Amino acid sequence: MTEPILSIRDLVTEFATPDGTVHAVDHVSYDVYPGETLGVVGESGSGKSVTVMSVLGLIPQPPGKISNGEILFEGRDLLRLSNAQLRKVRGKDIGMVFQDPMTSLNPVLKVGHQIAEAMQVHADVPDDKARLRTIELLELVGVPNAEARYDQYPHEYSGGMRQRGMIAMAIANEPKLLIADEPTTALDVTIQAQVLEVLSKAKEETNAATILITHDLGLIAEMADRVVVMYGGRVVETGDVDTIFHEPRHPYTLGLISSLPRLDQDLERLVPIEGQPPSLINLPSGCAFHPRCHLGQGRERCRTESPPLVEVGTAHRSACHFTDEMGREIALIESEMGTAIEGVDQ
Amino acid sequence: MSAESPAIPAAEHSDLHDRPATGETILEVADLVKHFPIRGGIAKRQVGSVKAVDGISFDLKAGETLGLVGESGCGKSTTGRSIIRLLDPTSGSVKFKGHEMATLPRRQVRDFRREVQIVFQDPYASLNPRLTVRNIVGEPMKIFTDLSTKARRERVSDLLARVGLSPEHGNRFPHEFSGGQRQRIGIARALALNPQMLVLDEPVSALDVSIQAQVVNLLAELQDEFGLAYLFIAHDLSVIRHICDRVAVMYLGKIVEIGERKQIFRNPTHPYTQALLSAVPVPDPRKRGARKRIVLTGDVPSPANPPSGCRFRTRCWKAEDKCAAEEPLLEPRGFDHPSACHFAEADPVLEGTVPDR
Ligand SMILES: Nc1ncnc2c1ncn2[C@@H]1O[C@H](COP(=O)(O)OP(=O)(O)OP(=O)(O)O)[C@@H](O)[C@H]1O
Ligand SMILES: Nc1ncnc2c1ncn2[C@@H]1O[C@H](COP(=O)(O)OP(=O)(O)O)[C@@H](O)[C@H]1O
Ligand code: SF4
Ligand code: SF4
Ligand SMILES: [Mg+2]
Ligand SMILES: [Mg+2]
Repeated sequence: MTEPILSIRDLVTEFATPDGTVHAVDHVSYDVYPGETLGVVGESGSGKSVTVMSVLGLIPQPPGKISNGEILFEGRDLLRLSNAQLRKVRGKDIGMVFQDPMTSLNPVLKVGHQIAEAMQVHADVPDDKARLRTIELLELVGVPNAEARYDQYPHEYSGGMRQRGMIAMAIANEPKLLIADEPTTALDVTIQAQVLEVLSKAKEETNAATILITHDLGLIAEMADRVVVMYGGRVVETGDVDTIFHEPRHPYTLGLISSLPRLDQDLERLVPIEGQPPSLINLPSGCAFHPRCHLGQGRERCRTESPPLVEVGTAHRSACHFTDEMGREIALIESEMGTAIEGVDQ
Repeated sequence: MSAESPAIPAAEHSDLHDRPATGETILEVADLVKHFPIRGGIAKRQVGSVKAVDGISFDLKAGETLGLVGESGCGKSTTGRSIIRLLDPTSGSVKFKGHEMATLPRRQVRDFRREVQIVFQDPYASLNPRLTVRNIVGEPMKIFTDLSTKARRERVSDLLARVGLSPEHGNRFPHEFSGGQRQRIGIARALALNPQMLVLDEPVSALDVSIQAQVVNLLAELQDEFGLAYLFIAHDLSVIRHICDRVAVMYLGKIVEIGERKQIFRNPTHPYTQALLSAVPVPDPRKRGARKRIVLTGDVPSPANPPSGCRFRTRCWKAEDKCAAEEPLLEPRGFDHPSACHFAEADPVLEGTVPDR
């Protein structure tokens, strides 16, 4: 297999708060390979954003602190770069798209201007060339009347259009890695569909590896090649997208799937995960999922021993002591839902 | 707690309080309009209006769930709020069990308010932060009934237990709860007066998927148990499919298509419904590309200035001259359910994904 373009190793990111230390990212490791789309999924507060914020050097310190790990981007440890060096990587080799475009678009500058400037910061591009290239980019991402829109301010754009503007900015320097954190969460579905099409097109154009962070399993199923599932600041399962959806080997992943109402079929019943997500200040002992886990049933080992993320199949890892019982567990849940998860025909 | 022995004595008998038989129509909405004035200039004169809801009609039967679905700003919440009279409709008729709301005497408006309750989307904003959960859930009983303090206490405990909270939770304040728990509190409050109907305005939209499923299941159980009718407002078509018997699709203040769940999901005839069904991501990688892709161009126009004729025409790939000139009415047009499109045709967009049973 080719070398990963990004390799997160044993990352620990914490925040000091009045209530105690928030263990937002707790020994997280994952890889991103050139050209692939890696989906990162998990409920809110599971550490998805803090992980990539750590990659981008955007953790406010204090209260934040990266206390362990390596983030290898093309072999270089980003955690060892100076701020100036990091700024050169960010926005050039790594592009970013966030949920709220207003956090990365400056409200008092014209959109076109901001995109052009993003190019000029990283390369010696004359103004007229930067303008032309920006208009091309705006056209690529489907902003209508790109020339006129160049001179408008972010508030003059609709939500979907701002998101496109941000994608245009993110790909302006043909990054090798694109990080998209809930890029369509704030959008209506028909607008989401437009923006996703633009993202796919941008990806084709640049062949950038992409990290797509979302809480929407539907988006993951449509867009991702491989998937990382996070829970309580940890990675609990990784595998290719088909495996994750049809042969999950972690009870939490299964719980996410069985909680989902489906557009494409009638289910007898949703099978939710009991209880609530954990507090990252006071993570449960052993396996952090144990208070909610149907498979664990409060077994001693689940309560006392933190399960390591281990190989359970080809390029498939899970952090559960009882993965060998997952087949039976899936069958049980399937009968409650009234639909098949495992072994559905291709 | 049971439906047969409502714990709440009616202060005075009114037929608004009679429990309807399942299948009996309890709500009839006809040509409902709600416009919000836009004021401008120094004199703050009205210079226009936001046509948030612009002539919609539907009815709801006892024990039934009608889904109201559409994108942000299409008028779903305004519809819900106008029905329960949190907003005064501009025109049109809302009848509850045959009584016209606009002309209902004050006393009976109170009766109506007891029978139709609302649960809001935002579990953070919709609960009074200064009241304990016990007081929040008990408040409607204090206002509307003469139950004793002890009787109220007992009922609050029953209600909390019924929605999956413990009685000890009653002494805490809303900020001590997670989103899903707050939504349970809102549901307990809505049930306090043993209503016949709930308007659920995006009750699960703000919740994480595992918690969303808990609340969806709870709502389904409560409906069975108490024979409640639900007007279920949502923008998530998957949730709508799971929970609704019938579905109304809204666009820019109008209902563009309405029908039974199967009719809408199997045989949508309006281009907007078809576009929605083709745009929602399906959580199964094996179904990638199995669906027809309809990607609309452009954004939703402003409801202050909706397009002439068919409001969807600025984004519709099928639009013709007639669409700008003539408003398409919501009519059967030869299909088994009505559609507001001059060129309505059945297109099973979801075909290719697993067929339903
Ligand atoms: N009090 C108000 N004054 C003026 N305009 C309003 C008011 N309330 C709602 N509107 C407008 O009416 C339209 C419909 O709003 P409504 O809240 O009903 O939409 P919705 O379908 O519930 O949307 P969402 O999915 O975002 O909740 C919108 O354009 C909105 O901006
Ligand atoms: N600046 C901060 N100060 C304190 N806690 C933070 C800060 N940023 C994030 N956190 C906490 O880190 C945890 C993980 O957050 P995040 O990565 O944003 O979750 P998500 O998976 O929803 O993206 C959460 O508990 C969040 O409250
Ligand atoms: S280790 Fe135990 S508690 Fe954790 S996921 Fe596996 S079975 Fe459940
Ligand atoms: S009436 Fe015309 S514009 Fe409207 S949905 Fe039908 S074809 Fe499209
Ligand atoms: Mg996040
Ligand atoms: Mg609303």
